[in-house]
Amino acid sequence: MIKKLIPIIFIFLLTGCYDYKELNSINIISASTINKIDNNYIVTVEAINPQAPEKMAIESVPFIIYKGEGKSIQEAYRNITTTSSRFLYSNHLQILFINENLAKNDIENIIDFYIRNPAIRTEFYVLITKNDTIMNTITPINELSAASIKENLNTNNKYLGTISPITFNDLTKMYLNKNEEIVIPVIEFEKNNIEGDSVDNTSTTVIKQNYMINHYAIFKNNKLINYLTPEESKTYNILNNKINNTILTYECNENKYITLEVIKSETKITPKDNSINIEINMKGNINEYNCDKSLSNKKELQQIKKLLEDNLKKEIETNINNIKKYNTDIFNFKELYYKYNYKTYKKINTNWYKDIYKNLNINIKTNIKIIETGNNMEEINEKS
Amino acid sequence: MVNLMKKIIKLLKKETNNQSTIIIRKKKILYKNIYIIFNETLISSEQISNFIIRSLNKIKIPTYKNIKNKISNFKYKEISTYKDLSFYLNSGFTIILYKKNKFLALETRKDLTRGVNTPTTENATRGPLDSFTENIENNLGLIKRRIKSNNLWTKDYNLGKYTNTKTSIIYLHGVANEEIVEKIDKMIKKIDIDGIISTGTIKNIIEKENKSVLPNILTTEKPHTVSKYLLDGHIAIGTDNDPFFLILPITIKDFFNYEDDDYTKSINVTLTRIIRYISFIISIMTPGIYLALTTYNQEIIPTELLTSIAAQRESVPFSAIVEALMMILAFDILREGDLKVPSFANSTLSIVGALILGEAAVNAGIVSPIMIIVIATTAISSLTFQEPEIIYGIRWYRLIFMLGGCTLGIYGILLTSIYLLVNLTTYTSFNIPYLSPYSPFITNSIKNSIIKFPILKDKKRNPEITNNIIKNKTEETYD
Repeated sequence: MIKKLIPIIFIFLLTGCYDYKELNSINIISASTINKIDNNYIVTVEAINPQAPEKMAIESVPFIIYKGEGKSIQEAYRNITTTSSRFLYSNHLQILFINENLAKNDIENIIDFYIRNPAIRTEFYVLITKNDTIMNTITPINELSAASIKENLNTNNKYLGTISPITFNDLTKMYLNKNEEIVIPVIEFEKNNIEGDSVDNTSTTVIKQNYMINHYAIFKNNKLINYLTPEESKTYNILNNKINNTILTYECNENKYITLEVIKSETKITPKDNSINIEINMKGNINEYNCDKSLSNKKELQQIKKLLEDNLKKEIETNINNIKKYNTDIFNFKELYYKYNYKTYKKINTNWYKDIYKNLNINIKTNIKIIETGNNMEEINEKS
Repeated sequence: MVNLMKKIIKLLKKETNNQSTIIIRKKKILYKNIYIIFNETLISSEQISNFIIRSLNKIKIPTYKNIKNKISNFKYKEISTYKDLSFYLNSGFTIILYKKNKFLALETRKDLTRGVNTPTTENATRGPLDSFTENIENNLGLIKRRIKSNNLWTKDYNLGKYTNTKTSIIYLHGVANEEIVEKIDKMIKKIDIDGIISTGTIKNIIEKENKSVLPNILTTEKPHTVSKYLLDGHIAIGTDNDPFFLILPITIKDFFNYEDDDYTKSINVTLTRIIRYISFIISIMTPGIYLALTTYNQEIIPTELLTSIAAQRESVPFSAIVEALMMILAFDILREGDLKVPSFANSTLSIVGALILGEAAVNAGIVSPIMIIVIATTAISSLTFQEPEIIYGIRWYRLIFMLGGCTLGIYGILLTSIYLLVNLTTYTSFNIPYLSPYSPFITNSIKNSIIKFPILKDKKRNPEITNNIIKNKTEETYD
């Protein structure tokens, strides 16, 4: 019996608990910013400040920012240890902010680092920032800025649809595919020149400083070249089927608007030999209505439908044309050729950006199905 | 002749050190001297004076045959040796010495046991409320009341050098597996021990083949449970002076089946049993998994929860394993104390217990609140079992899981899970695999295991236990 027991005991004892770390010996990293200045990587991390519940005082901050510098990202990370009392535990990284200066060069190094590192999960979100201090902002409701931003990304995607969150895995996929271009949401300060990094930030009902996410940064050949407007971003989402729910507002009479809540949007893009056919199918409810036409009249409802479809088509057309000017194929038209029209792909592959992409013929067909028109059949003001 | 009888009396007096409780009364019937011997502590004096003395007085011609016929006592035994004499004397019989080798043992036992009471250790929301007593004849009667068949056979033994305890194997002839009966018969015959005070001794002797920490014998104080198992082909063992019967062979599924289940719809029973199985797993694994997650594999915990756990752990100076062991120990001590103290001290114990396993310990900075939740969940889950042995067995596995979790993380939990599974599959209960009907898979008895089929669809016994398989021939009718 003892002869059997001894090896079993040694199995447990001699393993040496190689990966043992108590919860009160680690610093949980929830967000991290990477910047590069003069060939030196600067890594800033947001470490969660755990507080015993009864000691939760108003002065204590929910997280702490540490900063490290080094010739490589890993070196910069490890250099943080000079100022942090505990081991940095990055498995719970939620958001990675990439500074636009770094994104304007190649982001290869960042992707390499996070793929190679086994201790970091690759499911965190990636955002482009102009300012390294954006994650220092203490926000109300969810004090942890990383968690707050993560929530914001998902809420925007669910109800507004100007951006859709990009995880590191998505980024890697876009980076590695030679036919795709990278698109990453951008985060910026709501106001200029105010710091929101103290607990005071949330002591007033109007938050002194807040962040804002409503558009994309676009890349060409893995380098950041420009930013989209929120409207263009929405068009990008519609074309890439990334809309969960959004609203469309169009003028129907002079200074009178109709608002459609889109609850389903499907886009089918077919690459033809010398043109691209885009078919957008949407389903939606009318949420707000000030126009003259009667909603109860079938004929007039058809006219409203037509008006919405035309306006949508016009909007998407202008936005596509605007985006085309940057000469980067964020809609993945080339990838579609590669997949569904390989003959043409071979022809256009070499000089895609030279002249073909810019002069691509795009035919747009929109189809909107109105499901609900609300309780009020007419415009609400009956006195007029 | 008389001298020889005196010799026996002399021997008896010498052997019992002239004990005052043994009363030897000389009686003369006409010309014949007979001796009446009984042990005062065991007999009822009323019976002796009413039936024996009175009957003897009426006898005209004192022949042995006459005495035998005239004495109005329902149970008597003719014995001839001194060994038998002392046995019956110590069992509460009254002995009439007639000749040197002709004794008459008459039953005059005093009822020294309590009456049939409600069960105290097995609670059931539904079901009969009688329980065994310390008298084996009464106990057998309680079983016989339920199974009125000539096929209810018993094998009786008198075990123990000093105690001479009556022990019975009870089984249903034609249903129970004769091989197992013989095996147990052999085992019991081999017993050569000073005393059998309870069935526990027998349990420990015949259980020896199984090295598992989990029991392969069920103890119960309910005639209802015994009868139910007898009908399924199991075997029961009871001893005098002990209200607890042993049932064997028992596989792991039997610890999850309770008698209330018969009163409930099968679909509801299934869910209840799933909960019992989950609680079995929870009570084994929870502390181990908690340790593995918080000291090795923090990446698995959702960030918000991790932050909250980290905040709670912040003020605790001990490592998680020490914290867990402390709390487990505190709970086990509390449970042990709760079982041992008289019931009037229970309220004191619960107040103190609430302090140890509660807010006070947290405020003192000794344990974190999450640890208390983990231990409390574990403790509650382990209390869903009636058989105390299984709770003790779970404790060992829990410790092994904690060891695995705190040295190797989730990998350790995986290793210990494999150990648990291998361990359980290798055990047998009297040649029946311990994990049956799950492994090996037995279709007949899976119908009354983690899932329960309606009784009309559960028509066969477990073929591992018995050769007589059909138990239910009721036809299903849909009118």
